[in-house]
Amino acid sequence: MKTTKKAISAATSIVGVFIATMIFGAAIMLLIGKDPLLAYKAMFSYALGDVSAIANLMNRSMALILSALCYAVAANAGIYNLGGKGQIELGAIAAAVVGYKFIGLPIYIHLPLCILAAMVMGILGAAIPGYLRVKWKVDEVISTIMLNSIFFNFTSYLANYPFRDVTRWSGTTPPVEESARLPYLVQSIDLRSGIIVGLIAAAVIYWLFNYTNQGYRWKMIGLNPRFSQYGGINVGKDQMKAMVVSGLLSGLTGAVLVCGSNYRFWESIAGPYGWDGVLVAMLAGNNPLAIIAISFVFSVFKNGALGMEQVASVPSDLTGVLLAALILFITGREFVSIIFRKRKHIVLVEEEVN
Amino acid sequence: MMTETLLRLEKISKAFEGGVQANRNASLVVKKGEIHAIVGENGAGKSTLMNILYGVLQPDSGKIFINDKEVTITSAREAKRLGIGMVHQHFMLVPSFTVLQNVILGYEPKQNLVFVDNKKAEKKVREICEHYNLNIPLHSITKDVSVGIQQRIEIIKAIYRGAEILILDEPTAVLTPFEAEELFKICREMVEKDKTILFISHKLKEVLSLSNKITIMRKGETTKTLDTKETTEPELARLIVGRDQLWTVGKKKISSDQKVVLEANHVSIHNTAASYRIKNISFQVKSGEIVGIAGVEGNGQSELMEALAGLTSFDEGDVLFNGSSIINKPTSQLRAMGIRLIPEDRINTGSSIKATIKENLIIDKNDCAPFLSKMDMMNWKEIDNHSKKLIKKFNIVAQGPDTTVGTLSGGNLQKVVVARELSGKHSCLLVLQPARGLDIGASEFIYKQLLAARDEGNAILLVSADLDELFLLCDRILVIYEGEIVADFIPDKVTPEEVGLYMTGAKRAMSNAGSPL
Repeated sequence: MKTTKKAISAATSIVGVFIATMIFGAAIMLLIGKDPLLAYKAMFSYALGDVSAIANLMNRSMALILSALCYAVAANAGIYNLGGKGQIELGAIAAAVVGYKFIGLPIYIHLPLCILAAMVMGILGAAIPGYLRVKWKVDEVISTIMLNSIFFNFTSYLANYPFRDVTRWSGTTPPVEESARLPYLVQSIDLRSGIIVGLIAAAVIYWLFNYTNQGYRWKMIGLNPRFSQYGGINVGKDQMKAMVVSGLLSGLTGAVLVCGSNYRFWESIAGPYGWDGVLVAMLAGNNPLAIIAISFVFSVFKNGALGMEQVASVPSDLTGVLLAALILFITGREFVSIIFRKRKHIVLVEEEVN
Repeated sequence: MMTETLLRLEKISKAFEGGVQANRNASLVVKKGEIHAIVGENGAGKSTLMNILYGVLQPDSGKIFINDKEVTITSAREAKRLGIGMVHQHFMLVPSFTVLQNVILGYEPKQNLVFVDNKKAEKKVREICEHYNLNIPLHSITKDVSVGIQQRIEIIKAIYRGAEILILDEPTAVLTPFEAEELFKICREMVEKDKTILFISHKLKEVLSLSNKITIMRKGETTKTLDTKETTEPELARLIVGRDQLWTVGKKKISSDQKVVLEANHVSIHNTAASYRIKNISFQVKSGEIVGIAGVEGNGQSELMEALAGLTSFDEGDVLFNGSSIINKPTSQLRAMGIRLIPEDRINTGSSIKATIKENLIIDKNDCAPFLSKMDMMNWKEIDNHSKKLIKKFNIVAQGPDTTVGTLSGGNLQKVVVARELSGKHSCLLVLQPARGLDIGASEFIYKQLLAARDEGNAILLVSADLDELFLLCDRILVIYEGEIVADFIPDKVTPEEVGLYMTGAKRAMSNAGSPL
């Protein structure tokens, strides 16, 4: 009862934010003398108009959902993993290499092997800054961001030298075997089941957050680490675990990118998803269900941008403006409610002081 | 003394969303030149009434008169214009500014309409200081001066801004006894020079010694206004709580052959290599005994307790629990043995204010049955039941287990902390300032819980700056001064005044080795 109510209010507010963004965008288009109706029509038809557009949308949403989850898991436990991009790339190259080097394996061995390899690399990439933080108090915000460059250069080297596809111009690995690709969802449009992986991951994280002891401990650490330590929780150990799960999800993202839609690794394969994921998770308040919804909305704007430009000659830069407006409306909504809550809180705190 | 009425509040009512009636027809008459105390329990509506007067909140109904003229106070700035100043419990000062800069902040005298006229400012502030005999170092950096001085800065700031009526919100809560006495002198000096003071406090002794008039608030209403001369502490206490029985915390005598539960042997914590936060402290706490540690805040008592609870570590010495060494073990292990801390900082250490009551109540037992079922799943149903039971047992005023702890009043927040600690395995309690900021009813409740725990055989170490509390509860009182135990008393054989001398370092009875001289 309560949860349905919550879900309905969340859904309506997302729709509301979406509509507000559209109206805002329309106003700007009118100002620069473009036809907003034409532009939006093009946007939707490019993002949702036919089956292959839907396939594109699914693939982008899947990557966003997974990448947002890996930030959310860590942030929820009060440790900030901004190294999603680099970790996804590590995972992706592992999946790509395992995917093309092994030939003749059955899919039920080959595919899990790819995913496993990717997860191991992702975990490695996240565990390093996690360990540095827990053991020596090295600020993980800085170390994860710095590791992004290191992992980018490392994977770029691998894709350009030892594992390069010599038939290609540069910086990609050979395509992975069919046995290393995710099963088809709809074969005719080349849509594989990556989105299912994303949805299942979100559901698992939701369950972890809300029903398990680990989720409770992460939440309490995220809310107040000092209190958690006082309560007898081993804060460092649990934050390390959060980083490991976060890295595992990064690796999975990389694997799904390679095995689910791109079929090979190329330089900066995580480019569009690493940071957008952080943004989506923040907007969603680290809630896995909200991450799904916001990822879809985000992807509609991103995928529709080309259509707006081609059909309505609206510069694709306007998508940036639309996304900025989207962020503003989502955070604005948060901001307004925070102000009201704060007010109430202050009164209560003052009341209690006397 | 003048007798004209300066301020009159008539039938002020204010309800908050959620239906809490914070004020109900509250009325107040304040005469010029008086110190008017407002007392009441937590949530009696004192703050709300003061915030209405100071323009922070708007009343739903009712009238405010200043000098018999009706006024509407829509903002704090408007209140200042009308001559109302407020000194909040948490100071509103910029730590890196000089004292002078803080005083004139926002109301700087200008030179050529642009630059701050520092000379003029200083002259004006000095005049105020001299007029009221207030001594403050105008050119010191604010964060370097003591809390008592910071409070004085707030008072001067209010006067500088033209305050005729000064609202002091729990002014002594942050002060040492000596600083409080200084504050009272200042208050008396100010009313002699025609200022009027509204004084909010929990401490009846202070109220009785300082004020001329006392208004009592209960459940949002102003129930009575008394002349201070014509009332007594028991009468006030009764009026505040609305019932007679008070302070009947019965104490059983302990037998002398109880076993030692907690023992500290020459423990120290270094500040730097050469200086100490606590130095060479030794003591024993027996089963069924409450040992108090008296001391002015900041003399090392918090560090001692946190290290005993495993939150920080000792540098030297040894701590024994039932005979075996437990020094520097992690909190989780100490908790499992039955050593529990009720911290002084309830808001940041003792609770997670953004979490719900039930989440707060199980922080220490989240991984034990029955709260954990198979597959690492939380048994929220069992946790709900557990929380409901504790809410009932400890009289926690809240809607239910899902209430966010940050919305509770101070007393109820402390009850959540105590309920949690006493509902787990415990044989040794480390308690800091258990009743600070709480009203009489809540304090009494907490005291009774502590005494009951003592009678069950717990060893209790109690840190407090409140001597009344220590004398009421303790079987022995140690005094800590500058990180060392300087005295060891039996409460029956010593006066609070005597203990006070040791607390302030005027006397000491023990050598560094911790044995009596």
